[in-house]
Amino acid sequence: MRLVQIFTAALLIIGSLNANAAAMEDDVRSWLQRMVSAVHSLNYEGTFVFLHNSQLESMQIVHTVDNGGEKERLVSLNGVPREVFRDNASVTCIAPDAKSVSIGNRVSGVGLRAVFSVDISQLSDYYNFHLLGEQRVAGRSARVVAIIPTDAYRYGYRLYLDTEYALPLKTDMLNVSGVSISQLMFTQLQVHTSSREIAGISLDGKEDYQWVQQKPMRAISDAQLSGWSFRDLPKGFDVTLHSKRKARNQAGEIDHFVLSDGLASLSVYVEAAAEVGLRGSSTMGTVNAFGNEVAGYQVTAVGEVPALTVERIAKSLQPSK
Amino acid sequence: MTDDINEQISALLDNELNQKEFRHTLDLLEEDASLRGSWDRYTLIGDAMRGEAVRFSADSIADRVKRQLEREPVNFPLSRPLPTGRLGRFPSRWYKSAGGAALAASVAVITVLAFPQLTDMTPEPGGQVIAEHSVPDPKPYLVQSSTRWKNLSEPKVESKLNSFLIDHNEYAAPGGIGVIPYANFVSYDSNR
Repeated sequence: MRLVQIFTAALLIIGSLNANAAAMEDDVRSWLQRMVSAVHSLNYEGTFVFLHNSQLESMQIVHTVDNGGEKERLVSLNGVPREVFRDNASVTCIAPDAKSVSIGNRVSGVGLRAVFSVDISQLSDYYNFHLLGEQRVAGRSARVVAIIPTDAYRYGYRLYLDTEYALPLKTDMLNVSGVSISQLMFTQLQVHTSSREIAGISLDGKEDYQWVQQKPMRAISDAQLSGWSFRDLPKGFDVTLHSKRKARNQAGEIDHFVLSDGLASLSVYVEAAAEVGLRGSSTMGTVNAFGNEVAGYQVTAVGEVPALTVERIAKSLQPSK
Repeated sequence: MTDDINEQISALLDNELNQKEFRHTLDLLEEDASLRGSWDRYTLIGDAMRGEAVRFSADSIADRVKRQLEREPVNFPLSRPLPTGRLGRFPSRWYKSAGGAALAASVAVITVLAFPQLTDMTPEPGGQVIAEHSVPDPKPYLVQSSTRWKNLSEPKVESKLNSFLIDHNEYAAPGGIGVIPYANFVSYDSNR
């Protein structure tokens, strides 16, 4: 009789632990979903600092939403005043140092919203999620969520989400050893109840700038990889988008593959091999790139993933015929 | 007069001045480069004595000390006392033997080279930093940090990678998870 009681008690305890774990997962899921929605649906402006490779920068962001959709302006506050302006139709990148303005059109039907979703149940094979305690960032109270990768092919995150709005007040990107490789932290953030006008792009000496209109991409269905296939991809990574566009400075077309595990993502570009192309690896901040030549084509992989990942994925691309 | 001023600077370091003296000393420091030099040396000595890591500028400390020694006369009267504000920090056998800024400079050298041995203390990490890097490599100090692609010699490749990155950001998920897309592009690059 006593044994039965102990057994029942043990079952109850295990059951409640499972229930706790499930409740925790639900909790993390709801926090992350609130965050994704907040980033796109709220009107906010703020200043944040961005630390990577022991370099510290500050930037300003203004994000508004109205009937016309989202608009966002990101400006560097130190050094060269680079600027990115985005709306539903296009992305304008201004680099006064290079005297260039680059305008890219959004791929129709593949809006940002489609990509921005976090599905924890799908991600739980490659990441563990934990809800940590509370912290204070930019004078506001924040809930801390840790996203820990299960292998070395992706980075982890520690997110400090605003308790009221779920906006990410601080984001630490962590390598496989748990050491932060970049930190982005708001020092000041205001959330507005109504949308505000974002000042248009102001350029001194517009005529000196080189205006680059990027060729529009057209999306191609996943099944049709136009003669290329990925073999031996790291666990969880899959092609989420394939598109083609005319090359800007040379004949032929560029194939663009986006691969993602649901959280981390990278792009692989395939073009006719030219003199100009990356051979080997390079890195900028948390972004890694790897390039090599495959069957007379230049293959370049770029993304905010570890160096190991860009290299393995670039090398896994093979002509399928 | 010089010693009075040095004493005031020392007291300023130790936060022992009243409001009026404080302002007066700051004014003097602002006007006189050599007094600012004294301030630097006193700070350095204090840091070194406390075993804190010393921040070296691109000039090696030995060079700076050498130049200072060449500039300043070393035949100060030996009996002149050091500023009282420094007494708490200097072993008496050192400050009794000399005075003035020349001593300050030479103590800096002794501290840097021999402090751990003299005191028979286990050096703290800060102390080790001083001993091991007493001749710092000026190169890292002279290069401005920047954000740009590493290991690339070809500007064209760099420009191509930039355009790939901008393009990729359009499709990348990080914006959804907190890292603001394009932050890497907007990122400051002083070398371009």
